[in-house]
Amino acid sequence: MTLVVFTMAVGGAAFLAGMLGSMTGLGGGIVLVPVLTLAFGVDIRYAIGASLIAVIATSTGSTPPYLERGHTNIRIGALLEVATTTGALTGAIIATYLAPNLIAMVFAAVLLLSAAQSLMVGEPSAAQTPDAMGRYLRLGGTYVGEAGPTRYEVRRVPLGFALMFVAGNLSALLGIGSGVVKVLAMDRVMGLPFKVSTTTSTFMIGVTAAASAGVYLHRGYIDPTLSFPVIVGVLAGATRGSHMLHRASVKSLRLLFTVVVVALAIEMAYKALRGGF
Amino acid sequence: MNQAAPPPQPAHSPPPAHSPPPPERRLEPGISRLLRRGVRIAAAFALAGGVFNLIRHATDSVDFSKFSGGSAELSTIRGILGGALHLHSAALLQLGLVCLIATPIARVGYMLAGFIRDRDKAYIVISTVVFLILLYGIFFAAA
Repeated sequence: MTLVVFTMAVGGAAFLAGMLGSMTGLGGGIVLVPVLTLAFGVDIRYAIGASLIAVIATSTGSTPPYLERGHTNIRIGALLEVATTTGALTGAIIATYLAPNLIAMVFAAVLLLSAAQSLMVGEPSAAQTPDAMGRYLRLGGTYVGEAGPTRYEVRRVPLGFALMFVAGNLSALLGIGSGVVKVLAMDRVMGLPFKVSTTTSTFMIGVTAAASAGVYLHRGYIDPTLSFPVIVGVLAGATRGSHMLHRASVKSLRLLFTVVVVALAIEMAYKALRGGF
Repeated sequence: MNQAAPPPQPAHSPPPAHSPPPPERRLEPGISRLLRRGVRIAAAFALAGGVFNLIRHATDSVDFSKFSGGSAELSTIRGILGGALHLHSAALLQLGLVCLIATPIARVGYMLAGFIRDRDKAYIVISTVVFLILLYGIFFAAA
């Protein structure tokens, strides 16, 4: 395939991924590696590198509007980043010792978990009494919700911290943002309001990915020629997707997302079992 | 960057204030500016290098199916800077990607500086740890 054709094809695929991700709010990044490896035959290491770069781009680009709306909690982000970046470095180091087929199997499992997560709806009530660590580190905050300025506190910080370590590992191993795990930890375990969880997760994703991206850069996982259409496509798609939000039916999109993700998971598992990575 | 529709405001909420942000939000405007600027700089290099690369090598065949690591010019900071200075398109593009990786790292550095200025001991420790981990990744992690 020539560079031009490849660039346009990958750019188009990345565009769709970015659009789907921003319209469902579930992060299109998770389909990038499967699509690159399955449809374009890219080696999984190059795919992970390109995906990681795209994740940094979308996270860094999306954070400023959320910050300006006041939903992000930078102190929680700063604290949990200790766990996510440690996890990311650990994951990046472990990755050298894992066979690509094994990484692909783990990816398939995470895809299925993402599909399950996207079908779960519900906003548990925000925590009102902080635990000791939440109080000492002044993690609570105020955000402007539908009811006006609302105060919230943070609880079960140690467990949230541990989950973030796992999220960091996954992010490095698979080249994803792990937004799913991060939101899960903040929303359900630590009791943060949903908007704060999602925006703070976005805030942390870039830093988490940067920790492993540096390592992968030195290992040659990040190929500029491959990363270029991926990054341009995802950013363009995500921007277009956020413009179209008011016209879309989120429910049917999430269903589409789930179907796509499950199909990719099955394909990846199948290919991994045949030693195709 | 994105022009997503803002959430509808309830009738009784106060209009957006222009008073200085409360202490815990003081760093936020600076972080926003830094992130936007970083993305712009990264985009400039990446677009220049990427388009240039596309034009020069348009009909070359590409194959990413076999992993062969990266060339020294594209996987070391020194190599990337050298290559970009010589206007090698791939290195220029890679420089953009490095700037992109560096942006969240700079953001942590900015927060650290802010916590030092506020003498916030707990968060000085917290951000220093993250900052060191990030610096290790991008500068010292061997192949």
